[in-house]
Amino acid sequence: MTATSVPNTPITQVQRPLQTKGVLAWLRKNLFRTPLDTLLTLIVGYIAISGLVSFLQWAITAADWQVITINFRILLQGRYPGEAGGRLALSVFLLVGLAGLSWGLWGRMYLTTAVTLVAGMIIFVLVPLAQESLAGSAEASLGLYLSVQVAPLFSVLRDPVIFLVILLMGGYGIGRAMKAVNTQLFRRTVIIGWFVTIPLVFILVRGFERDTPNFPLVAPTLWGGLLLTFMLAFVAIVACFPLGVLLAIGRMSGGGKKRVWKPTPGWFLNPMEWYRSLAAWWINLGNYPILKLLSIAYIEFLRGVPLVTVFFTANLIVPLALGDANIDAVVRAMVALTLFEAAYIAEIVRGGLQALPPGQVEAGKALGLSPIRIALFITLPQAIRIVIPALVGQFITMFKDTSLVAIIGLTDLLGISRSVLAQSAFITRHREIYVFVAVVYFVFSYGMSYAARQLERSGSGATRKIG
Amino acid sequence: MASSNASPHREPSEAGLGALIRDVRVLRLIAQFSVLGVVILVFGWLIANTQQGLERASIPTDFGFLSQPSGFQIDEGLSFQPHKRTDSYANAFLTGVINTLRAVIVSLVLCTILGVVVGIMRLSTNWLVRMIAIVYIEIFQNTPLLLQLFFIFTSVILTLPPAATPIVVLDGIYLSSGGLAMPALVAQQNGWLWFAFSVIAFVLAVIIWRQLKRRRLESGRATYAAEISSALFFGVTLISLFVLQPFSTDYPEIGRFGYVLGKGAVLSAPFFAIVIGLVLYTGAFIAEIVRSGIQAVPYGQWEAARSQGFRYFQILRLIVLPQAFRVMIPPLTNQYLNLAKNSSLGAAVGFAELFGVARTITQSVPSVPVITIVMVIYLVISLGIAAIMNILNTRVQIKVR
Repeated sequence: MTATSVPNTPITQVQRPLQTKGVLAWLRKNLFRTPLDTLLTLIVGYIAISGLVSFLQWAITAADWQVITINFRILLQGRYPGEAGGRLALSVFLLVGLAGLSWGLWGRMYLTTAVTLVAGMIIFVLVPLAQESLAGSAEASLGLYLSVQVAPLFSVLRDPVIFLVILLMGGYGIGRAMKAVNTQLFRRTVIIGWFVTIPLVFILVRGFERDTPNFPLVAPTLWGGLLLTFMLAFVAIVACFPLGVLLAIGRMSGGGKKRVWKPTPGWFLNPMEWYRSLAAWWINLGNYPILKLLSIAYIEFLRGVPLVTVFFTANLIVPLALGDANIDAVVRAMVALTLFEAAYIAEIVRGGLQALPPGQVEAGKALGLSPIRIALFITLPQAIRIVIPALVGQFITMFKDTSLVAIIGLTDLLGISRSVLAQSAFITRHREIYVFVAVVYFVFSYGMSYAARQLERSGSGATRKIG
Repeated sequence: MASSNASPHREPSEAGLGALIRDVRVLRLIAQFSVLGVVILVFGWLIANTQQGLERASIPTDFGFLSQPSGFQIDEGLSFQPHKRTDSYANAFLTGVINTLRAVIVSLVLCTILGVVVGIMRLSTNWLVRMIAIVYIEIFQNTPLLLQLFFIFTSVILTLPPAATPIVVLDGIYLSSGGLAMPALVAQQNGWLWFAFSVIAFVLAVIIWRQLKRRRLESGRATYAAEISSALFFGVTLISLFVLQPFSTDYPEIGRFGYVLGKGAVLSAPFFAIVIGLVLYTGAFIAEIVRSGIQAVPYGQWEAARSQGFRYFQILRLIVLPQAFRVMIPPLTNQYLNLAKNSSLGAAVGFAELFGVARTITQSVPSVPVITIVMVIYLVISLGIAAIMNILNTRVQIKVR
């Protein structure tokens, strides 16, 4: 082929360039790019829309949402005594306020998020109002249905939702203002605030002794519903972290000289070679071989068995092992969850420690720091910073894992929804209950992962801004 | 060891006890042994307490119960009624393990397929397809598996029509709240002959495939390796299937109270629930792994392939996915391990897997040996999956010389 054989036919048709802006262009680019794409869009769109329509149809014309309205308090707090409800409200106030402040100090609220929150709030205000206007002229079956089934649920949810959203956004506003004044000072204050608030909330919910006038004891056996789910996750997240870090350090402990042992042909016939291989293995474990082996055994054992079997053990064997000391089933579940999740946290923190360049430890040694100081001031802060996304992922898993206590008969959010369903009046209302419970779990899990993404984007995560 | 005097930690002039307690290695040993001592003491105290408690209640703690008859039956398993009342506890455990493995293996395959499909959908240029993948992933990742299982079992499967009036999917395939009934294939006398033919054909096909592939690599000409070898294998298998007629079909029957026991193959409702639950839940996580794996492949690979004239799915299959696979294996292993452990939730919907069987057994047998057995079996399953995936991992990594 030569260069002269370029076709010399005149171009008769000039294709007009496609539009690149506007709704049509967007549709073409994202939905109808090729014939295959168009077909795919039509099929998937049909399935998605018909699914959504049938769900909505069920949700606003067939579902019996009264079951949630009636059992609302039980689903939220179980058998927690009503007169102590103020303590729960105070705890929620503290936690949500702090969360808002942290959001303002570390993250950014995007316009879409703010609009979603406000729109949600407005819906919760409008629907109960609509009920009043519909109730008078409720001839249409849909209006009647809405006023009897849907609106009461919304009016039960209205005040808490408005309260929480305003608190969160107010906290966010104050946090932004704080950031403008003195970022570092207020960030430190808020971190200290978290450390103070977490035990404080626990004390508030539990109370002191049985007969104290102000804060009487509310035994963990009375906790239930969402409250129990939260307390389990809360205690496990707070308590498993230090244990996990210790285990990670134990597993990472090394140092000392390495010994090389290579198998020679027929080595297994020579007992001296057996000894040499064992000695090399033992020496290569580092300066703390016993601690290292204990950590490895702990981590690998607990990561190899399902959480339910650990709960099961805690339920059946711990009462035997502790003899007369009677430990509450809720506390046993908390301890089991903590011990179990510590193994996973340990592996995540170990990943962070391994990602650090060895020069960091060496620099610490060169400065004459003790191993404990090196861990506390040099390696751990950097390692944990790297693994924040993985840690939050594990915390979300932990939050969902608390639902397994339902199998050993505790009444967390899922367990108590099962006991609501066991009542003959609500036995056919499983869809409503499960959808409601799923929405609750979803809101908190998604919120956590959203917060983690914000934290990552703010630069407080994997990379730290210098200067 | 050889040169303890040269150790920087020890003052060479000192000697005796003073030197010994200032030697950092001795201090390390003391610290470690005290930790070990505390661990042993705590465990010893707990075990002693447990034993005392058991002895006081005169409960045996040995494994002698395994050979005794269990007194309960399990209808879930490979065969019709795999565990009868008179069978031993050991047989009950075995049935539980088989059921666990059944659910795990089926879900493992299905969730991988689902995860890959949704992971690719998640990166589609089609907005609708992408959104559907995102919504699926977020919903199933952010709600507990146990809740999903309850919903699938109670609100989906149990609301199907009863087994006496099932939905007829195809002729001989019935779907109802009693599960899925399908025609079963029962091997005849010459079943082994057909099996032997298929195995021989498979081996031959693999040999021919390797030969043809080598020839293609040497000559550069298309040798249709995959087409010829698969034609050979499927040809021999199908022709011998028609000639030998090694199977007879056993159709399910519907009686007044549902499926007639022992007729056809019935996949029970709990089995369905646990498999669908595990597949949907784990599939969401695998989809995210596939997505990040594909995104880890440099975009230049796509562009290079496109400039060579590859089409979209060819690029995915031949260029991007094989490279993404390397990044995906470690997190994929974690998800498979989670799946195996999560199969224990089948007990909550009445599936007779290992944990469920063990829970039933503890009602009549002391719990300590039962829990020991269960934990050891789960450890073995986990280690097995981890070992297989590790071998796979070392195979697919790029060999650096």
